[in-house]
Amino acid sequence: MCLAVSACAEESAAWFNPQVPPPFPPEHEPTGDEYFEDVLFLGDSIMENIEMLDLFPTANFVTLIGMSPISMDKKLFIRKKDDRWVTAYDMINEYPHKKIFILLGSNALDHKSYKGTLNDYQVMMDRMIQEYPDTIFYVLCPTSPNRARVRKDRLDIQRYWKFREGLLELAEEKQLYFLDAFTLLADKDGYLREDLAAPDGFHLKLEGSKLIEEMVRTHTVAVE
Amino acid sequence: MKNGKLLLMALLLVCLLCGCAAEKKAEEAAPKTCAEWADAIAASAGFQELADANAKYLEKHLMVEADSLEDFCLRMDNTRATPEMICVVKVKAGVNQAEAKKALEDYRKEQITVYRDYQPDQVVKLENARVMENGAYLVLSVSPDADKTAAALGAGWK
Repeated sequence: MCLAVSACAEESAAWFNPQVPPPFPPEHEPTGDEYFEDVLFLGDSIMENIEMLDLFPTANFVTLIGMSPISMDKKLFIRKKDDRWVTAYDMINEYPHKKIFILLGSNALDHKSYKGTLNDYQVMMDRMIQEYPDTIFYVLCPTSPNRARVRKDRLDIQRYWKFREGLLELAEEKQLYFLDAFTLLADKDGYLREDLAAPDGFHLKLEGSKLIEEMVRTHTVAVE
Repeated sequence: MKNGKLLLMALLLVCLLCGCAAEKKAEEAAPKTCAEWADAIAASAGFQELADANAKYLEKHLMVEADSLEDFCLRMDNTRATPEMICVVKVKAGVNQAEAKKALEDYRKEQITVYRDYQPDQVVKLENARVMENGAYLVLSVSPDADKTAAALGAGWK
């Protein structure tokens, strides 16, 4: 087990609470908003929707529609303070944080192999762990599309399953807390549940976003 | 003949009175708050289900300072699957309204760039959207039917 920050950095593993070894944080009563005052949520349109719905009012968000692990340093944000175009990595530095929740991957899995997406994810995590050695990382496994979307776009649903398995392995290796939004919102065959899917079969209705909120609030880890 | 003229004058008077009454009724029914304008726009076309976004979101994503506004209403597609939205703001007196207008226009252009890579079929909605102005009010509506939305706003918007 990795206990010292310096040792973790050398092994490219994240800091974590030694009382609660990753990857699975135990379930508990929902955490209040105070826990999220030093939280940064990082993600794509699904995370931006959670921000827009104000489900975590005290948290900060770095979100961009269409973002994926590989586009973290390609897609650009306008930084308000100096009106400059900057990357997601630059934006993370704008917000003080002790915990980062990440929901990324869906925008790559619809056209890229799960191995390629996992590789991009690992590169992203290595960079962030090195940059923020005192930060606890939670990775939220991306949700899958629903049946209709899979049929329409001729997607391979197995790719989403395999990505989930790979992300869990990465979480074990890098000492990240793993929150399984995929399983939470999927039916028994791994497709996004019809009652939670937006008309495009990929995004989430309000009920889906609220389930993610509940999962996050009931699986937090104290920062020692 | 004289009776005919009298009848015509009476008819004209009735028409004028009816017209005034209708105008007054329309004036009374006209939306007054930003939320009421947003309601009128939302009812004009088959928008996706919309959710209200708060001042923090408005400032961060649309770069409009909430302090510069007397009132605002921001509603977004509540799944973020599409760029559909309604933003109505009423700028405070003495504030540079052109800045808020530019911020809304910049947001629209930025979203075009975002959606061109992401969901190209949605770009047309952003291209058809325009920032409209009526006195202190500004509207940016990304609608499934821009013509119907413009008609719902009525006269006075440019």
